[in-house]
Amino acid sequence: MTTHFQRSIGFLVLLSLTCLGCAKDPFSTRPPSRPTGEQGTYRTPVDPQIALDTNLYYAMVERNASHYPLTLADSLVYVFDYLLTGPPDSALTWGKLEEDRIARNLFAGTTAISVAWWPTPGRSDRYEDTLTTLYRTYEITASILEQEGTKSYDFKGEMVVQLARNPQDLWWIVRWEDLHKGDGAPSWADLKSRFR
Amino acid sequence: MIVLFLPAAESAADPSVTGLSAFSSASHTLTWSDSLRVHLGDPARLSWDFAQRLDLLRKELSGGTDLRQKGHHALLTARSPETHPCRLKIDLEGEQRSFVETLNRQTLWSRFLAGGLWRAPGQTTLEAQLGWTASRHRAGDNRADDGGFARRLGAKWGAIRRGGPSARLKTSIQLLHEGDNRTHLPSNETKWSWQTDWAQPSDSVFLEWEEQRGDSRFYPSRDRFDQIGRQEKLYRLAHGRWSHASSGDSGKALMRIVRAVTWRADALISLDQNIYHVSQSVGGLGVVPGDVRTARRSYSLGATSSLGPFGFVIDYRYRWVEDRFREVRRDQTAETGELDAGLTHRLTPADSLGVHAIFRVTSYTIPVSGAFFDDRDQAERVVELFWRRQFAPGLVFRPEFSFQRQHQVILSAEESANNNTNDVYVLEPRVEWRPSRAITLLQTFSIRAHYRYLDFKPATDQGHGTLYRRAESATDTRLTQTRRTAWTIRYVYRYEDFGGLYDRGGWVQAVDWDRRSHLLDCRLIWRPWKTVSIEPGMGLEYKHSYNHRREGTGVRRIADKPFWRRQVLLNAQWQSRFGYNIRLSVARRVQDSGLGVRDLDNRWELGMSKDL
Repeated sequence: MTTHFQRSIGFLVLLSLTCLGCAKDPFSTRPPSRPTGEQGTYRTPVDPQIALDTNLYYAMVERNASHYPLTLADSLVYVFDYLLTGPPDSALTWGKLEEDRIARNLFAGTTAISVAWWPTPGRSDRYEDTLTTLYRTYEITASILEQEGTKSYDFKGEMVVQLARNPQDLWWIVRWEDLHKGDGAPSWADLKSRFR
Repeated sequence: MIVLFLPAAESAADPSVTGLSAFSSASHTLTWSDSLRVHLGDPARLSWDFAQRLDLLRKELSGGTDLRQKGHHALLTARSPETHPCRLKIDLEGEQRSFVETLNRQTLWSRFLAGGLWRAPGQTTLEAQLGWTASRHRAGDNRADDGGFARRLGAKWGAIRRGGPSARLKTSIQLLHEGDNRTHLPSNETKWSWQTDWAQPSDSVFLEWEEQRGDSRFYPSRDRFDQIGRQEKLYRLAHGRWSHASSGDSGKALMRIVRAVTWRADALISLDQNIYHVSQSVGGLGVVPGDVRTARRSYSLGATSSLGPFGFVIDYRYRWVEDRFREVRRDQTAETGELDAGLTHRLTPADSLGVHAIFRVTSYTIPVSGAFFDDRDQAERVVELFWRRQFAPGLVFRPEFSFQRQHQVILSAEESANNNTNDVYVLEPRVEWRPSRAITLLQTFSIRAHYRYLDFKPATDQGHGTLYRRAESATDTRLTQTRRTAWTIRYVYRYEDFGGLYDRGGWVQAVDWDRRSHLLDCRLIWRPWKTVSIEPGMGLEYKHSYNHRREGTGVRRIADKPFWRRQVLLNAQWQSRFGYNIRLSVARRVQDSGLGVRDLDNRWELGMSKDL
């Protein structure tokens, strides 16, 4: 029994020593600097439209990589119909970590992004108590940094966005479906794929 | 689209047919998914497996155009008896993907493999298959055909060693290689893994290593086939878990306490790496040459204990994620520390108390400060308290209180104006009452207050943050009428308001809007026979909002157009004693959002499966 007890204690000591070398304090944050810039546009998402039409929209326009992931659920599923270019095993879906990474890449790799979207004609937004589906048609112009200089590209498409209440009872995006237009023009998913 | 899955009993030895067919029509989208699996044969003779899946999608886009996608995959496998050390295995596989009427694009791929599987003594298995593969890519008038030899090679070794009546060491190593040498698009993929599992009553150790390497060519553009890209992939995973449990029932008091704790430790390390190369640029939207590397490592430590009326749980989790890109200014490292602890105490047989807390901080660090993101921290604190009181065998009262705080801290001066704090207070008393065996009543009240502050916004008369309040009463009733009939009824009333916080000798909320919602949902669960279940139901929602306009010293409430929706649905299922399983789901939904547009939505699904 004593051997067993000693082994238990030894096991814990060993694990503690191993892990202390790469532990992270779960209680305190680093001190910030006093602000010199303006705050970005972000409203408390008490309605699904605020989460999409205000917070996601301004996160894109202001290229705010801090606000962008706040609009997305931890369990986000991003799906698209197809990509115009890309490797053969490009997944047709990804999650929040990839979206966060793409947003940082996109904002750092562009000099300006202009976005416009509006309710998709012929579609009615679908409201349920805990799940809302919004239909939007968009046009994006992105000035992308390339070796030869900055080039401007247009992206058009439709998106079907499902939003749900998060644990704080605020709305965030749980499913985001991107669709090409009928003319086959590059979509938002093509823009994201460029920065994966 | 709703995914419908109907399981069917299936075993390798018995012939079986499993099918699934699901159709749905909703929101201008038609989907049909169909799959079939057939297993025929005798284990003592040749056995056949056939699996096919067909997915069709038609989506009506705005502007009158359609998006049509079709995917079809089929696999036919023949195997000789398992009793022989040498087995014959033949695979015939085909796949088709097409986008019709939008891009008029199609991809066909097929593969034939034939070979053998040799099982040697000592759990060693060798597998070798050779064959032919062909592919065709088509986009409009452009077409590219390709073909070449295909191969599949595998080896597996395993061993089990027993060190006593209850100690066991189990090890396995596996190697698998698949590839082809098509003229234009050759591909190779190799995977090897090693697993060791050692277990005895008080300790267990599990170690795993896996590595995958892939090298394949592809057409970067879906419309032209004159450029070929190359993709190299490398994925590594190392996983270790060490669990230890100790318990004592003798010795001194301190040792008894220590021994009563069951310690548990988990360690997980994973690394994955992706490398992309393109032989030539295909324009601004093409794949960009270079590397994308992601590395992750994490571990967790935990302990659970029960000592008399006390129960205790504590976990510490650590996570580290590193992203490396082509340019250093896009790189980022995220490090998370999380402490999760809970304590429960059973005061009396009828009363118990509990507290649960989570403290989590994630720090994002970047090597080069950029204009759009910088070093930042995200902190989260959650504290939950509950009390459970059982007044009678059929009456339970459980009030809960919780507090959640989320704090975002951006370190740089350029971005720190966005720093904000979110505080949520929740009080939720709940009563569960079963006055008789036929009636169950669950009544929940919920009151929430969500405060949001910007950290650096001065607290002036112009407002200081916002407050979102929500109060809700939910009544759930289940009436069991007969042994085969039951009703469920749910009614929810909800009040919400939102507004800024202003200094009036104390922070008060100036309401911008308030909203009242009523929701009703009724279901009948009827089982006329043991094999048939029918569930009709209906749902209603009515929501009325008011905007508050400040006029002088007063406030005027202006009613918004009300929102309502109603839904009727029917679910039916039949499971026959001959193995048939059929399920039908039909729903019709009408919504009026007050904008003059009434939205009508119908969807139905049919699923079936059968065992032979």
